[in-house]
Amino acid sequence: MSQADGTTPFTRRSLLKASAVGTSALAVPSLLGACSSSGSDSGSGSDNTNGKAPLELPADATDGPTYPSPYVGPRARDLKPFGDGSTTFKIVVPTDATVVGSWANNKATAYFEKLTGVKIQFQEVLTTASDGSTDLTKVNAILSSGDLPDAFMGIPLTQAQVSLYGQQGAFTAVDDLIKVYAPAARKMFEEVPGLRALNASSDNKLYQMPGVNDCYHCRSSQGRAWINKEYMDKVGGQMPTTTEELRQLLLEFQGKNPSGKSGFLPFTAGQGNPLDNYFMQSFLYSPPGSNTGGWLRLNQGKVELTARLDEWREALKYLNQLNKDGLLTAQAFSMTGAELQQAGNTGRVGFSRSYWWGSFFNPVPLDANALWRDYVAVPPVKGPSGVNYSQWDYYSYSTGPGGGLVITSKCTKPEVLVQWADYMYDLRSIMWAYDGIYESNWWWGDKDQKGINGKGALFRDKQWPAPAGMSWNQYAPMYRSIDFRGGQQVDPKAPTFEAGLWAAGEAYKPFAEPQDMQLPPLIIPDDSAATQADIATSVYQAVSVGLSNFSLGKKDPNNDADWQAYVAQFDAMKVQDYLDIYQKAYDTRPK
Amino acid sequence: MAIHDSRSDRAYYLVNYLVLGIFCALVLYPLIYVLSASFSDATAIANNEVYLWPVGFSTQAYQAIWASPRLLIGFGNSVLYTVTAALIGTTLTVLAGYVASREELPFRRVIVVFFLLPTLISAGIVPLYIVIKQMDLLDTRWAIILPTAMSMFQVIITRTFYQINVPKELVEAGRVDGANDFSMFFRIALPLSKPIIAVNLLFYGLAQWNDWFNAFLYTSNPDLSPLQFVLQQLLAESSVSPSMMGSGDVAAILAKKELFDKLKYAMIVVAMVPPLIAYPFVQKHFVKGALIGAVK
Amino acid sequence: MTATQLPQLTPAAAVVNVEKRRGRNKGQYRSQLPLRTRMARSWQLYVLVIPPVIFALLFLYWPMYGLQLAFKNYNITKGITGSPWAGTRYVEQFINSYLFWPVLKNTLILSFYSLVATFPLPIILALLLNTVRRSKFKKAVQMITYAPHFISTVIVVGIIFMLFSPSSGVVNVAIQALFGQTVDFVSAGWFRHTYVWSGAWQQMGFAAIIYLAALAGIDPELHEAARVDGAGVLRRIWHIDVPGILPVMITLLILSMGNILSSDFTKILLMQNNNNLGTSQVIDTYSYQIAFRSAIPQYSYATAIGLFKSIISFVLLMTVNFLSKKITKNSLF
Repeated sequence: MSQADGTTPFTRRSLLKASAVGTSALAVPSLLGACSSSGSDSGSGSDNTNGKAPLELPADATDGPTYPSPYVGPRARDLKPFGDGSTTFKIVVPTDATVVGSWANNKATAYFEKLTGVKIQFQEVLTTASDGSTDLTKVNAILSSGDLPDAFMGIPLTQAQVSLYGQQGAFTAVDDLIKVYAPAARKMFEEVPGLRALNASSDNKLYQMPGVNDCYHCRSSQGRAWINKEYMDKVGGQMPTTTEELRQLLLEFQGKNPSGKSGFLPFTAGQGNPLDNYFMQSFLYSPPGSNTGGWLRLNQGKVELTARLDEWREALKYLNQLNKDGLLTAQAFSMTGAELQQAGNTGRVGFSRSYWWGSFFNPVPLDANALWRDYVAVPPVKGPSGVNYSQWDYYSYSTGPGGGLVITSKCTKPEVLVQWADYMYDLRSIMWAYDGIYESNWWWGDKDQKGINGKGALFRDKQWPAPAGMSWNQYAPMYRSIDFRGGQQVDPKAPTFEAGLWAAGEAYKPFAEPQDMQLPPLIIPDDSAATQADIATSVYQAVSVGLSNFSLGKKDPNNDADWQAYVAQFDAMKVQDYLDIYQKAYDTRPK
Repeated sequence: MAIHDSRSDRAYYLVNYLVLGIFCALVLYPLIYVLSASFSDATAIANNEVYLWPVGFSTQAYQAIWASPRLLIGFGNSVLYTVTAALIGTTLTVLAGYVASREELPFRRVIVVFFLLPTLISAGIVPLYIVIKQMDLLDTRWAIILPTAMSMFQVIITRTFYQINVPKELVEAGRVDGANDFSMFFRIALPLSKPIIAVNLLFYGLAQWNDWFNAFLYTSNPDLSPLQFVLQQLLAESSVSPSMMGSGDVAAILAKKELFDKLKYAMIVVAMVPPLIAYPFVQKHFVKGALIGAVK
Repeated sequence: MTATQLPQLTPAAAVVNVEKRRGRNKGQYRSQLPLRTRMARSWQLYVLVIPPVIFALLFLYWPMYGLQLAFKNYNITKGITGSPWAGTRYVEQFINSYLFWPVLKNTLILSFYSLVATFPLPIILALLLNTVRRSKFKKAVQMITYAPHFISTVIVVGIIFMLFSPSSGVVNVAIQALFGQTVDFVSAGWFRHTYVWSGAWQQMGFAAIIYLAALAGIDPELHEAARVDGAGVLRRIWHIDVPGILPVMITLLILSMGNILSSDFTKILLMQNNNNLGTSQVIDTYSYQIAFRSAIPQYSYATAIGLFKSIISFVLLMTVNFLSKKITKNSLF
């Protein structure tokens, strides 16, 4: 809900960033290495392997799709039911009346019961608050009361929770079980080298069947900006390449009002569309911030806070200049999503620092000549010292528990659930789980048709989300690799957003920061979690208030005293302790 | 009326009507807005075109709510919970409030403090959840009603009413007539406390009507859900948090947003109508002198 | 008889007098009979209070064992009682936190502002309504003012944003037309006003009900008698109605002191943005932020903050209760 923008962003991704398990660019653990390191542990999992020989992947199904080439990702195979139906497993899942409907009567539920022979009883739990943010109150109560189900599926627990509760004995380690019962998972770990480390716990065990959902454009979505190219043409401008060109263009917008409408906004940003994600990148690489952490990057392996660096100050001077020009006003901080959309709908937006068209259009109609199609992504502009990064997220492909399965220690036959989850990594299962009924809502790709990545189409669908009651939305463990997602067929007559977003991703890719600058998602240990959250809240407040004060001229970035007072706050809130927590978590992360 | 209003009184009444009228208009405008928005086209709402009357008249939102299968069950459940909670809460509160108001009662202050402390101290959700679980109430209708069945605020307020309306003199007079505490409570205190009983019924009934949290926390069976929880689920599942904008699956976000825009106003109207209908029945107990008349 | 003598006649004044007498007679009354006899004589009252006491023990006191979480390192598999002790670490962490003083200050300012602004409003509304003689108008006003109570917080905030939006809201369109500039109603400077007055708007009608019920207890004959004596409406309100509902006012005032550190947390959270954090961050939002948006839920920290709030509230409530007893002779205990 756009009116609810008052809450600060709290995404699965920001959670991962603040807290989750991580890996580094250099860490490319082989599956064997990963398993042998935990193979000697006597987790509750190893008791259930019974010396059984590892299952092999079945052959490709003859009625599967034509795979584009090259293709790395899930394949449709000949799966046979393996469960005998003797045990009914209780799994806690999110309530989703609009897409899943009743989990018990869902069509995909019936399909999977037949496919696997395993009976599941679902317990539905509401996991979102009324503003759409994650709310795990009930899940946490279930966990705390000791009244555990057999597993949690699609519940966005944090990696830190999985790690801690796993080590405290509430969850079952699955490494040994995967070795025997999960050939598709093994294949996935082979094909996605960083995946296991991203999902392992601080004792280097895996307490979840993880998921992959590799959305190409999402890697740059946090830091994008958009401009109306019609308006740009009208004022005789070109796509800006430097901060100064951008400023000049905005001044042209302001002076000439190419929209011809009153209330034209040459420059917009707002709540939920923070300025720094785009503008700082012309001065330094600075990742997004939120009230749970952020603005942290790696500098030669050392964790640092970008918001107190001198380059940050240079960026503030630029924003301050935009304010003096009358381009950047208080609205750039306070505008709600709904206000931005109203402005967008009526063609009053020139330049927008926001995620995608839907941020400033509501609805986003699919007509070929819809207004939103005039807006194109603005690649990062060069700052005075030649810097231009895009905030590229190297780790967003891992879904974490929000798209995976966590088996609890109460489950007496975890091997059945591991194999059950393994069936979910099959291409056909993935399609059923997230897109509903075959040949009703989705089909294999047509020959000679292209996917959104321009290669051969793998599948096509009628609508997504699927009509109510036929899919599991995105809650099941999945393996939606980049090639899989890129293989979604595009109808050239009725293009959706996907191809355009893919193009936006391409536009930002060349400016991605080196991977060793991005702080991977880390696990904050329990005894530091309160301190981390405490200082993160202070940091968030100081940076947010500082950003708006300096930009709006309430403080002067050119004045040394103002800047030093700003920087001194961070020492007062013991930011070094905070950085130490991250440094330690980074140095000891599972690899 | 034999006496005519003085000039200053007439001025007062004029001002009074004026103030109340202006005040009503201030309150009414957003309400009318909500009602109009619920009958407007989603695009019109998104573009802030609705000012007073519906724009692009549409009943889609109500149809969507009507189509929700759990709505009718929820409505039935809500009525059941509301009535039960109002009765249980009022009974407990009137008992506690009356006893705590009896000043001749030894340890009365202990009782007052006993009822007052929980308004200051709360242990949080998890211990309460565990207690409910230990009482074996999880996934029962009782779990929706009982945890919030009695408000200590109401007890203290009710006690104040009894202090005013059943003063010591009245009790002493009753004693002289040979009434014991039971008959004093049932024959004198209860008839004298119609307004506060009405307030309590209203308070507990409404609190239960508006509540979705107990159902959310303590039950998993959709058949037990009250209306507000059904609506809350619709709202929570269809609302889009700003951060989701970055998370890619735009089709889903769009679908959610559209539904949300459609639903949110209609849902308020749906939830608001029953309490508004019920209000006049309670209101009539606030008529001036209802209480004194009963004494005589 | 002149109007100034009226208070002597009102039941409320009688109550006040009763209270005064009570105060004077207390010692005497107590010493009349031995405690045991008095307790035995009141056994029926103890029986009446059993059901609410059992309820309170089960649902309000039993969960309080969870308060020990504030001093423990909570481990979900060991449970509340089985987790190891942590001492006063979490309380200290809260008090030593960088944001402790700003957050405490914000909370107090917001709460007292809210109290000062919203406490008298329902009283005034009830007093005004009480003098309305056209019952249809009266009923309509009551009904309309009570309706906003049913709008959920999310929607109220949505309506605020929409009506007050600097770019397109009706209010700002009007302000722009009059003053040539717009006002950002959720900015740091305006946040408190917007929060408080929208709260007043939403709750005033509902809060007035309790006073209407209290006013219903006042004998109409008192008003008649005063009218006969030529007392104007305002005078009658001041000398009959106000004293009549004074004990209820005092009770509510004292109770609200016990809640002074709590705020409408959902609403603040929804209204918060980067601009207004400096004034909108209060204890409840801060506690939620640390305890439930951290990587791992920090129940111990949340409980410690809750305990801190309880202690402050308790002290405040006792103080106000004491003052009220001294000044108005009304008190909770």
